[in-house]
Amino acid sequence: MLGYIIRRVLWIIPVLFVVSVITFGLMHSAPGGPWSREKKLPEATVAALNAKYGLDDPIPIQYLKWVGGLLHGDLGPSYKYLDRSVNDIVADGIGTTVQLGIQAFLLSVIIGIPLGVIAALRHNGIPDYLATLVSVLGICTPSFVAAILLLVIFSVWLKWLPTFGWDSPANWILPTVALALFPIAQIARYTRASMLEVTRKDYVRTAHSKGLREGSIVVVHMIRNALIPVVTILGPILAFLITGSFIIEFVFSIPGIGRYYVTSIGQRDYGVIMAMTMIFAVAIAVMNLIVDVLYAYIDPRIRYS
Amino acid sequence: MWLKKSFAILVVLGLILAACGGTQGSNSPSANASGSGAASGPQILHVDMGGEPPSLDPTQATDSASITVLRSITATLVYFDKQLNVVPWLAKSWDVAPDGQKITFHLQDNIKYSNGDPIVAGDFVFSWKRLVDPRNAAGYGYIMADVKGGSDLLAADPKKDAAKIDGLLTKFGVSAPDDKTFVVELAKPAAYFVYIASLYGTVPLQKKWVSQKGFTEAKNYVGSGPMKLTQWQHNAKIVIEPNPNWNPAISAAEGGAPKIQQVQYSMITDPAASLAAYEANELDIGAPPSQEVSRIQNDPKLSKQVIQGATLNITYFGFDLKNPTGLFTKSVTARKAFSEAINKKQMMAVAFSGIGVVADSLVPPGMPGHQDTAFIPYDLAKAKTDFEAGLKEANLTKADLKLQIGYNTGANWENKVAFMAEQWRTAFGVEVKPVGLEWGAYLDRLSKDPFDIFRLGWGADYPHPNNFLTDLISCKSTNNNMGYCNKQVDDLLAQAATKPKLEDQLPLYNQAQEMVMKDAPIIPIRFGQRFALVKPWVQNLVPTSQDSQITGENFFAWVSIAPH
Repeated sequence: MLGYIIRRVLWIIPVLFVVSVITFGLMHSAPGGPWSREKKLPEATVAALNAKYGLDDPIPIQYLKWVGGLLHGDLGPSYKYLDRSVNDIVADGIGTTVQLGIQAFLLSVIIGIPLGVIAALRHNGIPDYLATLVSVLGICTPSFVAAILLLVIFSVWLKWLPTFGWDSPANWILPTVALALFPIAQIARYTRASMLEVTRKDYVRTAHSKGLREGSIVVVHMIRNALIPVVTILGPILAFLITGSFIIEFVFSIPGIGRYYVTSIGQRDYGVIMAMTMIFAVAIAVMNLIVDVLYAYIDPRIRYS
Repeated sequence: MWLKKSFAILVVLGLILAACGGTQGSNSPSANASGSGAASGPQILHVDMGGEPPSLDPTQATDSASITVLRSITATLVYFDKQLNVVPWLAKSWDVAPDGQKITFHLQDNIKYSNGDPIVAGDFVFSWKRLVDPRNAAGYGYIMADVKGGSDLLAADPKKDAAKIDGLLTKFGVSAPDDKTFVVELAKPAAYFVYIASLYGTVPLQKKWVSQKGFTEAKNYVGSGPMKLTQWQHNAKIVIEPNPNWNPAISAAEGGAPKIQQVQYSMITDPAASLAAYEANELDIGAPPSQEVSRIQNDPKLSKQVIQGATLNITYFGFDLKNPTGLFTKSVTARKAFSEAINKKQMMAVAFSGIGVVADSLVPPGMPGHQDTAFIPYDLAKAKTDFEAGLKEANLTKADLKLQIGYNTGANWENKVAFMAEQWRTAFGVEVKPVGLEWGAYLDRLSKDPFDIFRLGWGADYPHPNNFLTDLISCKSTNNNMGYCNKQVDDLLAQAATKPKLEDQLPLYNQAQEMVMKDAPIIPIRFGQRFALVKPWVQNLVPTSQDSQITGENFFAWVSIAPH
């Protein structure tokens, strides 16, 4: 097992290398640069800026310099937020983004799994229809629509919760709910389908025929087995949630790093683009690894060597 | 069936809950806790600056979010009054030498930074040199081009000419003969230059703290304005409070010492969310997106909170005059035809929600030198004959034309560009193909190979026609993407800059503008208009046409909040 984990961790390195080369290349091949303005900067100023930030070097040299910086823990300067380093920007926002992601993750697990279980146990009953309705709505409603809807209902009409910021727990509620809607729906659907499949398994029927209590059949025999496929999607969901949601951070003005995923591209803020991509890549790779390890733990049939 | 019924019950339940909550919520303490703007008494102004400011270093800032804060926490030599006349600020007076090439500023008595140190003339010398130094690559460094030695410095390469730069800086035309006198020598007469001394890039900076601390944290920030920076939570909010060291005599006309105790700038990037925050009483000033304009106008409560007024900017479409075989390069008449075919009034109503003023020239209303003349009026019949004449002039046929109109995506230009293309199709039977590019790619394309017709905008740095004519359409202007060049226009503009008095300059600027409109290198479309919402309890707000981001931003220090 340990050998397996070490091998997988080592594999992350070439993955990150390929991701960084592709991103770096694409980013620099996009027309325009960080100094493009509607009020154009004089050519001498642009040249001076390029010299100041080393953007006049050939692209491969720039890449090597970036890698060199990365190995020393330096993500370089931001070209948009002058005087600030990418390290500063990431350090300022990552905690908030991760907190929001974990809150949303917990909420979606706490609601999504029971929702799926109840729906499966009351298959074709009212709870099933309601759960299906919730998950269909959750999957079909784009998060920016859901976010604005929550904002209008709970902040503008009811005035219960603040519309923006991250200062107090009251600020956390709406964004967490808005961000969790989609994963709640996703988890509920997976859980329901997987539970229904398990219901028909021989070992469940055996358990029934042995006269075990309904509760212990559901918990010990059904849920534990039904959750195996669900765990597979929890990893990517967690990675997706803790690397932030551009839309949710944008709508609720949350000072995380999620907003930079999209804005940095428009601004050609090269250092920030690279940092965001790498964080996302590392998060996905690590989450996938954790899921695989968890898998072996939950499913006795799986053994790594 | 069951599903339908239970869903209906849920909806009804939800509505009942919502109704109950509405009546209680407005009085409950939680409403006050969340919407801190609802508290009565404290002098706190809540505004939205639209996002994290890229830099609060006055030398480096170039964008409106940064400017909106800098206007309160730093101070320039001269400032504007409510009518945008230049008035004394850190300088109590200034003399212009008879040849127009030297300006001597006399500083006010008892002026201090927020750290208590006195502001001395040498700090301006330091700050101005910092702005022009090519090693700092300041975005607005070019405003120093008129100072003696300025253009040499700006053109110097920070790598190749490294040895030269220090020498050039010592010869740069700024000096401080004593602590109270700041002298600027100009390379050529530039009567508008005193306006340059009102730009935030020219504020005094103390060498001692600039070289030690950065501008990125509130605790390190030393300002020179009526307010000071007390909190900067990156990407979340900025708080400013009165600067106890500000000399209230300077701002006697505005109301003396600052009245507001705190201005809280939030950073809401989504316009819809910003409007929601305004409606939830979390913001005192709102800037609704254009899609919301008609709802607001029809809302009995919100419609009373609307403030409208001119802003000093223009939206225009430029013609590519660099392509030697292009229709527009070869024929002025064709350019006029394309201008005459656009019904701007209808366009304003249809595509701009009625917010804005039809533009028929370059210099906007509210700026000296504005001419209320429709130089190329909407005239469909004339457009058609001019189009045919233009084709002949250019020696082209309709079939030769493969015209494109360029715009940047993601900023609601699609409907405006489609409107124009449709007008040309009906007038000339010509297809002009809209091409949208992402912002960075769009700007890149304009500087290299512009579209036949392309959208751009221009906003005033300072309220003087020089900023709208010389800086936009003179031959050498970097912002002249059209490639338009008329030596006579340039001569008129240079001549205007030698006249010390504004009333003597204006006829020359007017002549220049008339000449430009005769050449029709652009289609002016719309002068900006503010459509803002202001809560009734915000008092003494002074909106000016120079506000760049938030209505009234230039005079926030003297706003007061009525009990509510």
